[in-house]
Amino acid sequence: MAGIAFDTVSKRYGDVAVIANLSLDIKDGEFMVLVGPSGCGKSTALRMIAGLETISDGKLRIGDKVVNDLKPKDRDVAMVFQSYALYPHMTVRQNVAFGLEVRKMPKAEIDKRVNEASALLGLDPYLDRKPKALSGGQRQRVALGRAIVRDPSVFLFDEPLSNLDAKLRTGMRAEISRLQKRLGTTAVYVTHDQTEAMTMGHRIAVLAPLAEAGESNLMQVGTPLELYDSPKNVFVARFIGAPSMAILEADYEGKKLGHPSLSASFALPKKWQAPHAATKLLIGFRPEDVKVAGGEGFTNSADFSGEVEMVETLGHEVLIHVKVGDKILIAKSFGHASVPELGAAIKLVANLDKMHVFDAATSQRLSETS
Amino acid sequence: MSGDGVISVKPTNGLVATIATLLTALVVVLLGVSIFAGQAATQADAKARQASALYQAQALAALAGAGRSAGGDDAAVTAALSQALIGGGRQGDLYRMVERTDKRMVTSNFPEDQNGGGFPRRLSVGEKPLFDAILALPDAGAPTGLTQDFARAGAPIIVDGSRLGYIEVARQSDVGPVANWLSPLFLGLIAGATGLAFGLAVWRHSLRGWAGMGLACAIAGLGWGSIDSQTSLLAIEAVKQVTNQATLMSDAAVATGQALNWRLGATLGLPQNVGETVSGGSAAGGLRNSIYAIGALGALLAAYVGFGGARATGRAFKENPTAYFYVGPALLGMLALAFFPFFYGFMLSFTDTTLLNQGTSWGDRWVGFANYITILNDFKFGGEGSAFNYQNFYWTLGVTILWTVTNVALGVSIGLAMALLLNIKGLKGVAIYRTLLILPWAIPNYITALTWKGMFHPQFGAINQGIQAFGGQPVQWFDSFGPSFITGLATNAWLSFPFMMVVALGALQAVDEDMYEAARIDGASPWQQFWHITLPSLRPALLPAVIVSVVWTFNMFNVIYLVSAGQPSGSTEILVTRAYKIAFEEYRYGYAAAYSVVIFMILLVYGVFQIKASAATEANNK
Repeated sequence: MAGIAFDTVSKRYGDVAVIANLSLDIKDGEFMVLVGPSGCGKSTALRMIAGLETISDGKLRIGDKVVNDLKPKDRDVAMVFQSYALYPHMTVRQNVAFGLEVRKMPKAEIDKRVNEASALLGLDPYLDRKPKALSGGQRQRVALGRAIVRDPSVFLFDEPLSNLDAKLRTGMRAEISRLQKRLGTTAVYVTHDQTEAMTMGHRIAVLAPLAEAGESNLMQVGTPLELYDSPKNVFVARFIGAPSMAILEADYEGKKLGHPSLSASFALPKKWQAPHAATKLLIGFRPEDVKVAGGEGFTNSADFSGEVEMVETLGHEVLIHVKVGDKILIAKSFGHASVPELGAAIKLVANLDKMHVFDAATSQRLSETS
Repeated sequence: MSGDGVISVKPTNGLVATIATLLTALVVVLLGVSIFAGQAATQADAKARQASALYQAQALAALAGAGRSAGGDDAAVTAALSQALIGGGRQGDLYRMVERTDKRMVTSNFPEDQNGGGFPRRLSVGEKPLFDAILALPDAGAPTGLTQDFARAGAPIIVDGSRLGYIEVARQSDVGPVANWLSPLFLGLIAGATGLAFGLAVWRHSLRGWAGMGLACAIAGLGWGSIDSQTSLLAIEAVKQVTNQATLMSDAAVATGQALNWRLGATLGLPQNVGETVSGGSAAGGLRNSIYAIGALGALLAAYVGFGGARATGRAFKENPTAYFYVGPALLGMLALAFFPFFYGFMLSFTDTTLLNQGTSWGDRWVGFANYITILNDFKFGGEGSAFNYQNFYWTLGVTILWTVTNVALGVSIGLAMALLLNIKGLKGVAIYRTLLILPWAIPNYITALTWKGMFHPQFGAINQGIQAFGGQPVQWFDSFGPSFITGLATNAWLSFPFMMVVALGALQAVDEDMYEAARIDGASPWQQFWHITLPSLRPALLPAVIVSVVWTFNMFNVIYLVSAGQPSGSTEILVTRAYKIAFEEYRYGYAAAYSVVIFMILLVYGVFQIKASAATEANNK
């Protein structure tokens, strides 16, 4: 058991910097998800913990130890790969036991651990099969088994569910979370899928590619709800939540926000620390905070008019993509009744209490007074 | 092939098939009989002529010998010979007498001998073979040739144990063609058997295949019986003629000798010769083998037709004409270049074919499994004197196995090592190294072999020069087994490692990098990674490569033949080079064929074993 600490860590391949100034504390026993689009350095960060990548600058600690120069095998970490990386010529049992055998653990102890892991993961019927004879989900379990028999202080997961189909993925998601909770081992989980991040992580670290991020890859760290409710910047706001938050550019002048598609400009709610001068602000609404006008509205709302661009019927809800100016605003409506025609003019109401406001120049969230 | 067997075919089909079977069997047997009965007659005649020619040669040689030992001069001996021929010879018989002294031809009425002037005369340079024959002939004489018109035989003239010369006789054929070989009885038997089998087949049409087969065998048997009786008759006739001839001949010789007051008798031993002649009936034996073969072939063909094979083949052709059209040329090529030579070699292995008798019939050369028995029963490890017999099959087999194992082991280790080196990440100039390392493979291997042979030259070779440059003693590479073996080994390792390297490199690059990372995290050291991940990952690719490499090396003719050439005294020979020498240096084709079949069988057994073993590992990796 150990926490992990990135202390202004950076990684460069020649002249190309991939990670810069990454500082992140992962607590002991925590399930930390690193999420971000391709190229954001999340896998590299994970591999630095594993010892598969060298660290160009900064310090990385596991527990109290600086591990920058430790070999992978001396870091007491276990990793689950996207490709599972099972040894094809070994049976499931041999695969799971390999890490113990190369460490010259006594045979009896190996058997005991393998059997425990196998029971935990339901691998008993497959122990004598080769990986080729297993389904994707079963292989993933073997990869998990290989990690847990080692009883490491840190689990590392590198997009372990990407090769599974959607249904299996949901099941394995829950299973991995449960397993981690049960074992209480610190886990670092890399994914590009925000749903996985939201559902699994105790905390989530959103990373962005350096080109977009500027100083440091790390955009925000927090619990799933913190990220959802108060994204620190436009990047996080857009990345977390599905469908994404719709963001419009509004003109701010005289405490009021205006937009060509608004029926009337409205006052910036008081909780936001208003800028002093006239400026451009980005306002964001999540789909559930936008409705088709006419039904039950919100206490404080703004009225937009636009044209129906696309309608997604999901059964229990309908997502209506409405073109507002040159941006798209998504409204969520429940039930079957109100499915509008494509291209029809439509009026929307947006919940101003749940509005997110960002400075257009810096993309950072405006300060709030609680 | 069609799934329907013999049992489940409709009656109409059964009838058609039965008739087809019968017709096939009939055609085969009639063809076989007409070919072989004719051959039987010709052969029995030829044997008889040869035997009687041999008699005459023996009788005349004895007469000439008696004449010489009684002090007769050329004229007296020539007169005695012609007198004996008048008494016991036949119209048109040719004979010549050649003597060692002065290399003379004493007398001859061979047309080709008449251009050198009168007799006796000195042999011309072109007639040297005639002189050589004096010592080449066995004491009892031997047939010296057989043509359409003449059967020739020669016998040495022996006086007091030393050879003076010899008499050669050419006897014209006088056994006429055999008439009536297809006797009414034979035809009747065929008709009866045909009717019987036909009835049986129609009655129980489901058994038509069996009936057809039985019939074919019956007809083949009858055909054989008939031919056998014919040839026996011929043989008996021939023996009778020969015996008469021999009696006449020796009577005439004795009479002539007595008339000239020469000591005769003991040297004219008839009993031995008559025994020889009786075995002239062995023409029938040779033929019997042919008949067996034709019978078996007929039965096979009948079975093929009878069991629906012909119909299935026909149907397959009809259903997929395009496919067969495309496959056709390759099939013909295979037939001409692979199947026929293989079959021919296989048949050859059951004969004692040599350079000298390859023109005679298969039946005469047929020896069954004798070659195989000789090869496999060869436990004579000591040669003449105390020297080890390196020509021994088991020694050669042992060398071959040692050769194969050491070569493949060396090829795999060097190839694998090179592949591992080339696979190092970030290695500069990999493309250049790879090209350089593949070069030995790209150069024609006989050139490489000759280059290495040159390098191993004991006096001028680079290797000995190098050893001497460092103050060492030159190694006599080809004077003893070990060094000589090493020359071949070095050459072949040089030739074979690039292949293994390419295969291993390809396999190495296909290994999932994640596995190594997983292993590093699991705690495996580089050595453990190599042993537990790299090697097992290479196995599926290397195993087939090793299998073919074993076969190639086992049959690596060029290197052995060109580099060590089996020196010293054939000790480093492997089976194929040995087979080559038996065939093309000793001209024992039949024996060499059997040798080759044995090699083939060894590799076949190995191949089956290996394929099973590798199939098992393949299954394991799934």
